[in-house]
Amino acid sequence: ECQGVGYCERVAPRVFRLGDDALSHVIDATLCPSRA
Amino acid sequence: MPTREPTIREMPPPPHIVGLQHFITYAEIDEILRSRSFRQGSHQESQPFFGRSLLTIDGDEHFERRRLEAPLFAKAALEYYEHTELIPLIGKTLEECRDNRGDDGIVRADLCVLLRTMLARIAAATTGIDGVDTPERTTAFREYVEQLGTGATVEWSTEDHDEVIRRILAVRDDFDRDFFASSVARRRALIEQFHQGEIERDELPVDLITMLYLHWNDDWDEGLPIREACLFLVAATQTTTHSVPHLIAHLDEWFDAHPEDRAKVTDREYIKRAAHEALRLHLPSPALLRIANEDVTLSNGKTIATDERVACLFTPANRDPNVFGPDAGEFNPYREVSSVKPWGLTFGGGEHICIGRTLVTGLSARTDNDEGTDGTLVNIASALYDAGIEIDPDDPPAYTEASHHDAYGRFPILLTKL
Repeated sequence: ECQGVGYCERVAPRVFRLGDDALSHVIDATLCPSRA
Repeated sequence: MPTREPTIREMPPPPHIVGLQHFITYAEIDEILRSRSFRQGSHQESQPFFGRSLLTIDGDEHFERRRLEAPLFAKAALEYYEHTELIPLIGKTLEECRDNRGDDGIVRADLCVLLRTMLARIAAATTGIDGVDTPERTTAFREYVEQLGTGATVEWSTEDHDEVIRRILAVRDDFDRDFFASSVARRRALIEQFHQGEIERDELPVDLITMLYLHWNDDWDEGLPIREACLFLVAATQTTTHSVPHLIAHLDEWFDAHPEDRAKVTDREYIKRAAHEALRLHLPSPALLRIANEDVTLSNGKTIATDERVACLFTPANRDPNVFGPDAGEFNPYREVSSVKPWGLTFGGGEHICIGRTLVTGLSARTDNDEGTDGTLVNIASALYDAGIEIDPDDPPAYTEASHHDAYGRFPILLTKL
């Protein structure tokens, strides 16, 4: 037991990826401007 | 009985955006704010207050600054602010209102002043301002923040803008002398102790001033900390002081039309929904400007030329019937929206979306799916209803004449349960 800014990918690139749809996706980051 | 002004008004565009291309639908503004083809174009006149602050920088510089300041809005920090710096001061402020009991036994107050007092500690705590600890110092601090807010929004002022800038820069010098300089000195001494190994990292305060001096960047000018601090002080208070009077006015009207809902003022989820509607309908920043980095054609075919400055008008966008339904121009705490946040574009969008949004809406906002905090709006509104808030029938609220904002200048209330 999202505004597509992409800051999550910059600090956790193994977990997040900014997609072509301008949204961040989880492929497996308080900093997120939209707290998404 | 004096007549009350309408809760929903048609606001003409302010002079500083006349002549620019205007965008008014939710979809096109959302596209502009998210696009990397635009940079910040607002706050041109307020550069003396905000130059190179988080609000006006873009790209890598913005990422680094936001990264430095993000810990101030971590879950643990938000819980600390709310439970230690906000809720106790709300209670204390209401308690002090008892001194304003009239001959008829009723407590009266101006909600606009009350709100700034209630928010003084949370603004001081996030920014790192010491000495907001007595009624006299709290009053002095509150008045500084109010005046700094006038400078921060000079573009919207109905006064002569050059005069406003001159006056508020002098006020900022006084604020530096009375509050800021000593707060900086204490933190710089602590940081020096940390660098000397005399204290641990977690013994340093978690606030803006500490973060700036702990991670000092030699590219910054020495005036940056007070500009960034003024941004935080104004931003930490402005949305709530703007929105709560609108929320109270709307609910007062709503209860007249829906008396069965009056008992729901004790339901924090109901207050939260109503607060989101007040945020949606009445924006503290009704328009933001962006500058195109290149020629842009939006999805709807509209074109914007390189270096063209455009105005995004949030008020009509937040009342867009394609997004919020056919009654989008009305207040309805039962509104359901599926595709966007319930407050729409009130906190902006893209990389410049408001860093303090969770301070206002809490982390348990409907779209956050998180337990933790309720935010300033719900905590304050709930406390006011517990205190028996009523709009003074003999002295109706009045909108401000000092700016083009959709804001109340005074909001006389009765607190019938104190």
